[in-house]
Amino acid sequence: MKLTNETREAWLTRLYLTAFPVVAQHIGKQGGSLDEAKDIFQDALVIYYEKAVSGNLQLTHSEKSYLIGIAKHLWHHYQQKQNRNLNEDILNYTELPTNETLIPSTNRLLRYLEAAGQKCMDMLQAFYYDKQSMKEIAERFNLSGERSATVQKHKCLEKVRDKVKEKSLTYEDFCA
Amino acid sequence: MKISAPDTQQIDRYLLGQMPAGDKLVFDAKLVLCPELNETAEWQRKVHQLVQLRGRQQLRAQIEAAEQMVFSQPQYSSFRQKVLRWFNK
Repeated sequence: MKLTNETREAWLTRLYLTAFPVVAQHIGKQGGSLDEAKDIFQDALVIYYEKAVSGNLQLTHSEKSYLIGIAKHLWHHYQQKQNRNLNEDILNYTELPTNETLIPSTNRLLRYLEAAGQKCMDMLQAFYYDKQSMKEIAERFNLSGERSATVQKHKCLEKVRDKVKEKSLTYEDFCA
Repeated sequence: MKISAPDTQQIDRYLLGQMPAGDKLVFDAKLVLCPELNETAEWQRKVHQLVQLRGRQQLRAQIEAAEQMVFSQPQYSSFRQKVLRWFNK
């Protein structure tokens, strides 16, 4: 997915304005609360974004319809869970951990990595999470070209890997 | 044995599922035969997980900011009316 002429902030705002009212109507009519609708929509946006950047979407429908579809699907699962009063995580099937489920040392490790080298973390995130191309990464990080970006990315990967190893071995509860 | 840059790239291709089946088979064997490579691959996998987590946390923060904006700023009042009527009982 390319957010070429639109920042991610503008993209998110546009999706709130166009898709959220439909989701809210659906959930409200079925007795859900506004907070529930907001939570469901947030999860749907994360799932949609990750699918879109991974190229795992076949957009036979519009972006808006797809997002609404995911939200309805999540709501359906959520309701089933409520009805059955089960403790299973509704997002299990998409493997979205929430902040609360993270073990504290993982966040501590992330904070450490942030302090040790934010630029490297930004670059790794651009590649592995936002799935940007080497060309886009070269432009964003002011590197001379794709080759230079590739080299830099690997250096970062090795640097962060060594730091994770070094720090993890000192954290007793780091075992996720 | 020092893990070289080509190994780092190979581990990445392995972790990202970008290796052809034959290469993957060879690499699986290497992982068994070379504990150090295996250990390095596990740390690299951990980096992938952490980066994924960081990306998701940042995206969530941006989503929350967008939600906060459309539910508070004056120019979005018609949006709020459209939404809130489904919950005013």
